[in-house]
Amino acid sequence: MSDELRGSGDHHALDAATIQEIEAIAASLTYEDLELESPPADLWGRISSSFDSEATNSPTQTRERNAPAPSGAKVTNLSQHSEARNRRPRQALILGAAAAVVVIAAVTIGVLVAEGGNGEVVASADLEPLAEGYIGEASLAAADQGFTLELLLESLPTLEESEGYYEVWLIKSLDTGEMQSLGFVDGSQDIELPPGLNPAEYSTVDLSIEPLDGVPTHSGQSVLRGTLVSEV
Amino acid sequence: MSAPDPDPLRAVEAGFSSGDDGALEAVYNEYGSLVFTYCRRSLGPDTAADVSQEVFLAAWRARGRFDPDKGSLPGWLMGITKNKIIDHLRAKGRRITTVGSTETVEIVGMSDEVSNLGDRMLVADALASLPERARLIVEMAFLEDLTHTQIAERTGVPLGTIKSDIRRGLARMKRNLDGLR
Repeated sequence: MSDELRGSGDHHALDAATIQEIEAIAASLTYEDLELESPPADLWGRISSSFDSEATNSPTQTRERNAPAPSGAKVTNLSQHSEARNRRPRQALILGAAAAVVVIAAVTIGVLVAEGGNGEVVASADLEPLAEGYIGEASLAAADQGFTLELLLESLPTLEESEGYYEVWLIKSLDTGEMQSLGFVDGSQDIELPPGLNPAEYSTVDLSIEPLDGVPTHSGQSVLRGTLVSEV
Repeated sequence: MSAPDPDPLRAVEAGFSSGDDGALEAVYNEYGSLVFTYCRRSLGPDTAADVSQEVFLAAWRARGRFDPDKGSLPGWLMGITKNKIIDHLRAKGRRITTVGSTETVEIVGMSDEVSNLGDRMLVADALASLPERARLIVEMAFLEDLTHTQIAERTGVPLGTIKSDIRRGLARMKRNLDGLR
């Protein structure tokens, strides 16, 4: 489970009693509870003037509920990866009869690369387990010089040495086998994509078990797979 | 230590705990409406701003006691707000003077309502912080009372994704509520 469920360092999963309690509160929500009222415009001024300048000395910060996260463009090996929380204004989700989830458009990605990224998550993939014991998801974040794939592996069985290693891929087409390896992983990790790799084209994230047989191509033994879907 | 935290809200929490310049304003920008709305819906429009002001002053003074491992900052703030609201209701003499134990029951009832509203608003805040798809799915599950299957039929989103979105939503709600308790 993610670190959000672990609480103060104890590794208990979300227990049943807590789930029921939270679900009961959530079920009692009304739409009014979702609507917030703005305080009077002078309220902050009143608060800050109650203090000496130490507490409040700062350049004026405008309220940005969609403020982009600082860039994490370096490749980092994170054992606990906190999810980017991007608050967004309410938008209607476009629903259709067929699969309604929007796939990344090449145009969108092009614009982002040109403007220079800031760590904002632009796409995400829920990874479907293709074998037992695997839970994972991936996010695509716009970084300074391209994209970072943030791989969050919540459940990853340890492999015996004889079984091989985990390798992560971005797949363009399962039919033609066009894919790009992003290397070996042993846990959650942020991976800088190679500059020429367009995630709109290579949009399927795949985690496989690769035996140490000297064969560089995909073993065919995938354990997690999902398609990156636009968050923008 | 580690790479910059990609979560801007965690950065706000960290700045607040450290007592950074401008940290309280950042917290106000993020959670001012949440605190004010709780006050307003519990106390009415006249005193909501005054009590909100007291909350942020008290929060700043007590910032050393906020522990991000024990729960979220909005949860902690709303805990302070709840106490201020209840203190205010008591001070205004809202208790009905009656004989025997009815007076006690009245205060308990009032505290429950205030407490329930605070819980709901924190759950709503957690919901609002979710990514677009997860938020809409959690809304459909809890506000529209749709089953996972019904949500899957209406959105075309796979059942597994729906379950994981709801799990993520519950985790956010837990972190908010943990701060309150």
